[in-house]
Amino acid sequence: METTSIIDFTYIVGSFFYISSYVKVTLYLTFVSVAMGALLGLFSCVVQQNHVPLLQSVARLYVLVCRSLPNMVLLYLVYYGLPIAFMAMGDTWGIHVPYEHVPALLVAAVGLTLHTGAYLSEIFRSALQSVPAGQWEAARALGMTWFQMFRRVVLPQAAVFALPLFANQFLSTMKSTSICFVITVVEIFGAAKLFCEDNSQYFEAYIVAAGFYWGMGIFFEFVFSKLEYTMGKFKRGNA
Amino acid sequence: MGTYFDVAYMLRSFPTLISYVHITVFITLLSAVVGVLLGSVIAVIRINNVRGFKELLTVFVSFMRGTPFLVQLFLVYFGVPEILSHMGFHVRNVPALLFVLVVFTLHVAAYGSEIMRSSIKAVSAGEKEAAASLGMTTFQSYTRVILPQAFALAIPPLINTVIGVVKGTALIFNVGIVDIMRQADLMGGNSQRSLELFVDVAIIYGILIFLITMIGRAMEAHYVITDQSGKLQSSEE
Repeated sequence: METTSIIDFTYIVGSFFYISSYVKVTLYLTFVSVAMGALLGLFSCVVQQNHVPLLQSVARLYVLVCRSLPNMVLLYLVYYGLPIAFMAMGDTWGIHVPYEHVPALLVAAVGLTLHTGAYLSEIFRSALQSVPAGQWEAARALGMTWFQMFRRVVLPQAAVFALPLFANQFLSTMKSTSICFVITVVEIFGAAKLFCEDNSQYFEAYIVAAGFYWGMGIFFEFVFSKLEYTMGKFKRGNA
Repeated sequence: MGTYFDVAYMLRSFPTLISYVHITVFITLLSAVVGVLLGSVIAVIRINNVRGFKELLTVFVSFMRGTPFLVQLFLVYFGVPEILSHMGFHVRNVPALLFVLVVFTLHVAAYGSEIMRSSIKAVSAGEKEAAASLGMTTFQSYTRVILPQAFALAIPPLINTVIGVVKGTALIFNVGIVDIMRQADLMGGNSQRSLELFVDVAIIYGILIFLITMIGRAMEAHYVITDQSGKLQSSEE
């Protein structure tokens, strides 16, 4: 190594350009798993709220298990479990899924969705509970259907309560995507690791990767705070 | 492959895997204790606007909270030795566990400092004034009056952070430490039955987190502060 400086800036620039082309993978994973997780969480929350038999127990168990597992363990369970589940499906029902070629990106998305969904389910539950019963009753007294009550009265109020928590979960999921490199998905962190293996300039590559996450976090925090400001008119007491 | 899931193998492997749990517990306990202490110091410095340190610590906390744990781990484990070797120090024989402990402690300190900051602010101003009127120095009023109350308020979110650390330890096998995860990985390589082993791992983490939750509840019950009606009781005595 002929370099004399402690931090080599040519590698900082090199790794910046190398890593920046993988930002889209991280963003894709984040958006997909938050969107799917939100659907899953909403379903699990509504099922629990309305006491649907059997489904509510399944939802409770799901939330309990997925919230108490490290997401690395969850990811490994999906990684090893999904092909076996597909294989079992093929053998029992004759539905053939090409389980030999499950793409790693799909495994990562499923693992992160399960993780995010469990946390979002709890966030949505607390948001729904934050809307006082009087609001439901008033809406019902006006002759609204359940769907109208939910969409016009409850949802805007619950959404204001849930938004900061949702933003937190979004940022946490974004950071969690870094573990997907373990199952061979190349995103920001995976790219940094590959860059190191070629150049063995560890500090430079990882500090750039950290910078990407940091910058993206600050950016999304800004976006969510704008959104919170816009939705503030639905806040209770703001008339 | 006859069965998809071998329950007998899962049960048989459980004792082997749980014998590696001490590494997880050791890292969690040490980084939780040191991290919370360090976090309190950071919180006090930031609240009291200590010149120079405050800005530095704000950036530090933002960095630790804004980047994934795995990136921090790799930055310290691979990056710091490289920087040190450029400076002429060679630290290749320092055990990996030390790096892991440092990262976890700093991680807890950053998250803990935010928690402690809000709970120090939640201690009523009257308490601080009362301590000052008794002639306590700033140091005394913090250690004797403010921090004990702030800590009691902060127990539930701090326990959450500790649970986060337990979950974070599932990542340290990436830097070559043989813990439950690595052992499951190795055994799975031999038996080709990884799913059973990771179900075991999941159960072990479930148990650990359950235990920490119980400890948290017990601590909350032990350090009770009554409401703001002026009566303040602590069951320590």
